[in-house]
Amino acid sequence: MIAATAAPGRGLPEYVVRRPGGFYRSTNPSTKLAIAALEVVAAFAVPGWPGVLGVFVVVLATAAAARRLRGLAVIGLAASPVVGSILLINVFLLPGAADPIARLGPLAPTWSGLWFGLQTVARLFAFSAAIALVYLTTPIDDLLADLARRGLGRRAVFVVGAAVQLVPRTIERASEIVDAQRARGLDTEGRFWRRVRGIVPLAAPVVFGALTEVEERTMALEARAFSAPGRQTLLRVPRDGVVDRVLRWAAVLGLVAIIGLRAAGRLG
Amino acid sequence: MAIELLAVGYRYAGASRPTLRSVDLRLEPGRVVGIVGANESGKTTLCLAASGFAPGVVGGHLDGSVRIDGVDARAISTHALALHCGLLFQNAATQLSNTTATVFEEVAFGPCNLGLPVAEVVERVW
Repeated sequence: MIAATAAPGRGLPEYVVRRPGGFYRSTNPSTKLAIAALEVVAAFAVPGWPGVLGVFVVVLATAAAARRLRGLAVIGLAASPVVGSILLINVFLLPGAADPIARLGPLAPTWSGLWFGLQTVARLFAFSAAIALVYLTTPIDDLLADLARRGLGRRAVFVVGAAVQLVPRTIERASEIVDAQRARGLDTEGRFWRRVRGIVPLAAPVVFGALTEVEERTMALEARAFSAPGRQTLLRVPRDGVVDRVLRWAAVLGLVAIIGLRAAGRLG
Repeated sequence: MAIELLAVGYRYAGASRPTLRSVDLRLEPGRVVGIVGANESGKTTLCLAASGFAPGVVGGHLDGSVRIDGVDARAISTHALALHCGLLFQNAATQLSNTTATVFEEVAFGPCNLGLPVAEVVERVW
């Protein structure tokens, strides 16, 4: 996937050079983003089931080919509480629904609520899966290098990188603090309420720690010439061949077509 | 490289009192100097001032002069300071760029920021 530029004598170490890892995983990051954008728009803009089911088929087939089905399943599982609540709210509280499935005291789940809820949930899953697949198959530094290569400023690139890594870094930081607190006797195991109580002393160090780190991180970046003028040198440049460009433009055209047809009322 | 502080005083922006007062210090090339002091006594601030990061990056007000290789640090742009002075902070986690996947690329982050040719970056990092 990556073309490495090497020094005449000594090139990049083997562990820095990226080897191709299958078609989709080796696809240019911007192309993957364009395809994901098309999938998201198709899932939401095409009415009824065809759009969302089509997106599901494409995303799952791509994930299978890229050997990332398990990762998608984990992300889907993580989204299940939100999905469950959406489904319940629609089944029981969809405005104007008058086709009850059954009577449960004051509650009356409806068929149209269930149908609408399932469709909403399917769209949400399609949206999450399309974005998650890009995340699961694209090393963040490849994405950043590709954005930099396309002329995005180094500050903007850094902001994108920081945003993508915000959640994993916060989880990592929280884990470090929990370990440190456990080592000094804080009991965070056992019953539910004991676990909840364990979160309270965690919140302040995570939030305030993140804020105080910003200044030190800024100085550390400046100490490494982050604000130097001109373009940053890229050690590795993600591949961007003819197939990548064709796929990217096809995705962009598809995206524009769906939005145009939807705006013109041609999609129903 | 020599670093010289002459009658340096430094006050953080918004602070009522200076953190450093009339510091004279000369660091000769090749010397290793340790500075010991109580918490909040100004050790980090001294390092920031000596490397030109205070007030260059941190802001605040500096009295006296800091000279890096005979040049007033205030006359050197922030990114150019990186060519003369390195600065490491106590929290290792905040030192990382978080934009790289390997130690090699992390070390190369600074030279890459300077826009050096790939061959030179690779050569420096090896």
